[in-house]
Amino acid sequence: MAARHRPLTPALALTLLLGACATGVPPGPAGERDEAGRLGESGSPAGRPEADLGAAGSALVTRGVNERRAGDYAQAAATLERALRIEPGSAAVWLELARVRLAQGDYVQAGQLARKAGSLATGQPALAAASQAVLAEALERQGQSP
Amino acid sequence: MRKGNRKSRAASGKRKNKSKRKARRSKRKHVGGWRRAASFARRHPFPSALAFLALALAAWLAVLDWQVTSRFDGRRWDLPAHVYARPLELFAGRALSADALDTELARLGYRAVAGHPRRPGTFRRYRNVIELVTRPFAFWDGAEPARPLVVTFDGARIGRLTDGTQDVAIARLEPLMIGSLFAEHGEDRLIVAPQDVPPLLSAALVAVEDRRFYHHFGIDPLATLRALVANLKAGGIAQGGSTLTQQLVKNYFLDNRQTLWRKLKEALMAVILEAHYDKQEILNAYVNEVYLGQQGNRAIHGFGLAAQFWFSRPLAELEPHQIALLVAMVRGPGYYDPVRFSERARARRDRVLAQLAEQGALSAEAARAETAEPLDLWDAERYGMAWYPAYLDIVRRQLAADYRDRDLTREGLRVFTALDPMVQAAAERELAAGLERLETARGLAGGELAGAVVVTAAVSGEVLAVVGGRRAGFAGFNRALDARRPIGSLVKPAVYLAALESGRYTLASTVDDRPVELPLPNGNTWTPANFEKRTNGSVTLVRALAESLNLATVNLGLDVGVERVAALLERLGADPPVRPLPSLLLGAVGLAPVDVAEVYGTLANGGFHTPLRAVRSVLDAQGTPLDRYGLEVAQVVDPAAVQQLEAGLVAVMRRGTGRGAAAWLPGDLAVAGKTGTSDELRDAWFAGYSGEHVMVVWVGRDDNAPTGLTGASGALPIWARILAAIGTRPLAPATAPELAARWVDYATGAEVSERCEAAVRLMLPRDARLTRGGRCGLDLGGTLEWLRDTVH
Repeated sequence: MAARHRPLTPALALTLLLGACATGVPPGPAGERDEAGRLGESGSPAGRPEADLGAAGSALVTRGVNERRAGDYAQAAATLERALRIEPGSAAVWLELARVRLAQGDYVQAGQLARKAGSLATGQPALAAASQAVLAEALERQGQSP
Repeated sequence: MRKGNRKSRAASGKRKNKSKRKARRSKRKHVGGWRRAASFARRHPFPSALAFLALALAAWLAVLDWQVTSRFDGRRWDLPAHVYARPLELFAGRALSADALDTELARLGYRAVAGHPRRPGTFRRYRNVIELVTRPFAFWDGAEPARPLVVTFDGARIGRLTDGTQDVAIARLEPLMIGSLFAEHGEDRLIVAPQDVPPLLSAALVAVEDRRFYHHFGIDPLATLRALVANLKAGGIAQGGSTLTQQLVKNYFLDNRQTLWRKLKEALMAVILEAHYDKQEILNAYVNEVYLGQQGNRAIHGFGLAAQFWFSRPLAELEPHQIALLVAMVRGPGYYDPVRFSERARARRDRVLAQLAEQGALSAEAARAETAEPLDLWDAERYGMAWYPAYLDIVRRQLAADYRDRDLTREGLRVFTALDPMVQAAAERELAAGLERLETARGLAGGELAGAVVVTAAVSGEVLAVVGGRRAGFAGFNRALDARRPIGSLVKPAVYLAALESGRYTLASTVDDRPVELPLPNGNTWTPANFEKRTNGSVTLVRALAESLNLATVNLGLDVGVERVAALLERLGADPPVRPLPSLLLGAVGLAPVDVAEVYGTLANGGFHTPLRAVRSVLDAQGTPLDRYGLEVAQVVDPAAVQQLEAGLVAVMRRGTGRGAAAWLPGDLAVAGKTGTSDELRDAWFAGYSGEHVMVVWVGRDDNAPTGLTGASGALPIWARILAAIGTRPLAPATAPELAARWVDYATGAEVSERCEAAVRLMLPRDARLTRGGRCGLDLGGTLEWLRDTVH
């Protein structure tokens, strides 16, 4: 599926890598690994995660990830939803939206969005694994919340 | 504006009495000093009366002063919430034709220019290229500046998007304003700041309405005298001598009656206004106050809204002749209505242009050129109504949960919605044309049929279009939201999904299509029948679904359990709750089209339910985000079960009751759908989805009488034509890892070669056991012949 799209932009590859594969990646900007945004468990077996996005979707996902990193969660969600309108079948976009909700502490939506990402990630092991990791964390935190 | 003010003089008597009463009341208040004052007054009657009058006058002036300043300093107007459509996204690879972009630009009032477009709101089209400069716009997720864009088309797609030099990944146009949520009195306006008022407009208002505006102190005695003389000569009131300030005061504080008392009060208030505020502020208030048109009960106030209303452009982008027309209309927007009385309006516009030239605000040459321009109004007919009452209904309902009515009608909120004007226009057009075709073909009286359409985005649940009836531009009964009608066979996907979810069935399983009798709690017996009044024995689930076999479905549903079906329907999003009666299996449940769209949206979203949303975001008057209505999903059904069902809904379109859609849709476009027909052919439904859109079409009669139409003959053609017109993406391939694609015999469910005529591609659980059929064409003659006759 990815083959039909334009090649992954370097910036997006980096952001997805940073998000999906924390092991072996230099620490991100401040706030990247704060309580809510901790995403350390997931690992990407390949060096580069698959992405199922065209250039427009990539540009928006890159922006959305940066906005999340900057702590601007409402903005990040708006940007990623814009990406979703263009690429409704992209597991990568659903996954990033799940990460925003996780960072916001909305664990129920984070889990649901991660499920949706996972349901679209068939044949894309890194995205599937990252979705699974976000889902696991969301469920764990739901269990911990009173 | 002034015309209406000259009517009534009758009220002056009443007024005087009232002010006397007021004076008496104020005297009574000062009882303490009354006795002493009275004796003083007896001794010095004349100076006392004078002093008293002076005091009363001073008090009255103070009241007027307070009235003027409080109104002017405070919030001056109730500002209705303004509602916007979605912004059009532009990016390489997007399905969008040059004509479609051209239409969108026309809707937005972009001006075609001959050369390279430089100013915001202009464009040029040549060969397969559209060059434009967007307008700056404050979106809910940040402001975007004006930017140049070069869109190169590759057939019906955007091939390349640049800013003239570099590739642009994605850009959006500013959204179309689609309506306002105004209060009962209907005043609607769009405030413009002083810096956004074109100098020519200020010049024109002064030239035409009040030449000495910058020199007088609120009233212009000379002009008043001139008007008086002119009126005496004409033997009646023919000319108003009011200054702009007086006109403003009259609009602000006074009603339309024109009496001497009122004139005095108006003059005093005008002077007070001038004493407190500078000319610029007063002129700006005038620009935002004045009445410039009417649409139903919506009154168009201010030049900002008038520019949008008449030309679909921001005020700053109006051309001189357009400014002149609006200034011409100040004297009477009804009398100089440029649509109904175009010649009269044009003549007055040309007089305004001439006056501008006289005053030196416009060169004689420019005035001549502008006079040659046609009225150039925004073509509402051609670009679809810019007014979407049916869609505004759903916007209001969504907002009602979070906002008080007074906030929506007064606070100047900006509401961003998902309405797609292209989809809306196609849905309005095809519904109206489709109903007319049905009436003609069946010899029905024109207007006998009613209909409704809802289109949503398959994944996000955003509502893209709502058509509540065939006369889309008119408010009225909104069938899309409020007509709860029996959904008939639209319910069947829920029955089959419940069966698949139970794990006891696949679409290749068989079920008996034979008569069933069911005792009901009330003592009656329910004996459903197939639409064609024949039975088919053992049939596959895929065939029973595709051909909408009632008896097979009832047998299946009873086996799975009616309660389970009802519960599943609610999980899918059906609202209100569904009663688990056996007749539910054949759709004896009333849902509005918008409810059906929500249920089918869950199927389109692979088992994830998303509440429908029309509003994306709300900003306050300053542009601060108040609310964002974010995407919320909840997995309510196993995606694998939904993907199995989807193959069956594709079979509906390929082989079953939905196959008529092939006449309008590209052969390779994979879509899923289902027909629905209620008892005695009262309601004709079609609901379905692609990879991008969910759409529900209902056709029936408002008096609920039979129409003689089925879902396939009544609703499907309209559904397919709309889908073809808006362009859509095919269904995405199934992704559930626990499923595998298998080719099975449509009639028997045995595994066969995909080359067999009866082979249908199903997504089945990997461990599903199929009988090995192997023989193509087994006993198919009867089935195919029978299929051809099927209309249901």
